[in-house]
Amino acid sequence: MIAIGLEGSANKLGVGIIEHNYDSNKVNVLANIRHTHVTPPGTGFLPKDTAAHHREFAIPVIREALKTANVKVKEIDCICYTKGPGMGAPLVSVAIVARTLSLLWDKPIIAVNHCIGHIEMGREITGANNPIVLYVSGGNTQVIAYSENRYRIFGETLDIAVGNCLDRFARILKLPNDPSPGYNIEQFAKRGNKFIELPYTVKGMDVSFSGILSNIETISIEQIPIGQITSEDLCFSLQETLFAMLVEITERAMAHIGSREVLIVGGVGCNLRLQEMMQKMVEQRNGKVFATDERFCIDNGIMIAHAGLLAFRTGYTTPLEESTCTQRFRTDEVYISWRKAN
Amino acid sequence: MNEANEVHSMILNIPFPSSRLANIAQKVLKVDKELKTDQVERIITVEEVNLIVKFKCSNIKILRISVNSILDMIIMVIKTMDAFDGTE
Repeated sequence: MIAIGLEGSANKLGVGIIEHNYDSNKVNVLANIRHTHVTPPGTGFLPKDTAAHHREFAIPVIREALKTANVKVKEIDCICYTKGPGMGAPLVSVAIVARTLSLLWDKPIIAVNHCIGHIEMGREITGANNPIVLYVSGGNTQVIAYSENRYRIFGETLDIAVGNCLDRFARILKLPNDPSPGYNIEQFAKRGNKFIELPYTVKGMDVSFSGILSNIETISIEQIPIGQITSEDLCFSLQETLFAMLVEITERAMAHIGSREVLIVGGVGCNLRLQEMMQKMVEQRNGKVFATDERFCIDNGIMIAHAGLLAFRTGYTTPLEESTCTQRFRTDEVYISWRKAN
Repeated sequence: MNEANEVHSMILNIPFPSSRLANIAQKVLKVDKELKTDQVERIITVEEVNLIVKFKCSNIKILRISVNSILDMIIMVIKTMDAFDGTE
């Protein structure tokens, strides 16, 4: 069976085509095309401009995906799109295309939760069976474990996402947004060596990042111009602090569940320093870390196609009248029909 | 919406190549509800090959936003039809 997935919940527009082979139980990625709305250094992406970007590039990106996959329209079984969570206008722009394709080609449409897309794609690519999932991106920060047909949220951010904290600090330093602000912070951090203490805000299983951002902003404004510290030192200190917090809550979730596998998904998940710190913790518990590279970590269409097809195979489709979008859509709202209860 | 407040209205009439495509556009666009249903009323219908969108609104600023928004969406629908209708 073949599915096409359309993703546009943030500044990445992604189209993916995936094939599930029933007999061999194998999954083939046939196409995974992405186009990113990159804004000038010092600025973020706004819903209106991002939606316009997606509308401009939707057709060429779908065309390229179909060409790369070399599939005929009649071979496609269903059309999957991101229902949420994410920014309203960009989500709707992409959903409109998905609905139109569904009616033009007479194919069922499947609404997919973005977070579930990340988790299922991570499991598929890495082969992690029943891991604790750390989902870290520009819009989400959650520690998740599976139980009784739902991905349960064990801990999450109380304010902004970890990626949002990194992105906004990159903006303060006027680092470029190409290829992504987080990547540029990671490169700067490699050259930093002085650790500046920042607030450490773990609250039980939850974390909070907004105070850290305010604090580091003040430090950067006061101390970088007089040469006391460098941007590199601050990037280093910020990463170390944020990632230590994430590792701590992940470890606590592992202890709770008794799990030895950790899967890192979401855009921040391709940060090698985070993977390395997680590795050190998990090694001490005789466990294993699973992570993917930017093709599957950063938002993409293939994960939407994959999660949508998993649901479709259990008989799920979304009636067209209900193929809406929603900015808030929690991970634990989705009933996971394709996994055994435990 | 209070009848007395319906001071502004607008009708868009957009011809499609066929009634099939006009009907598809109507179905696609009807899914997303107006965000401020207390201030704007939007009815989407099809007459032969034409897509008709009627707006009634108490506030001209909101009317402009609604009309601009649906036009963006209609353009996207038409672009998608143009690119992928009949694709093998």
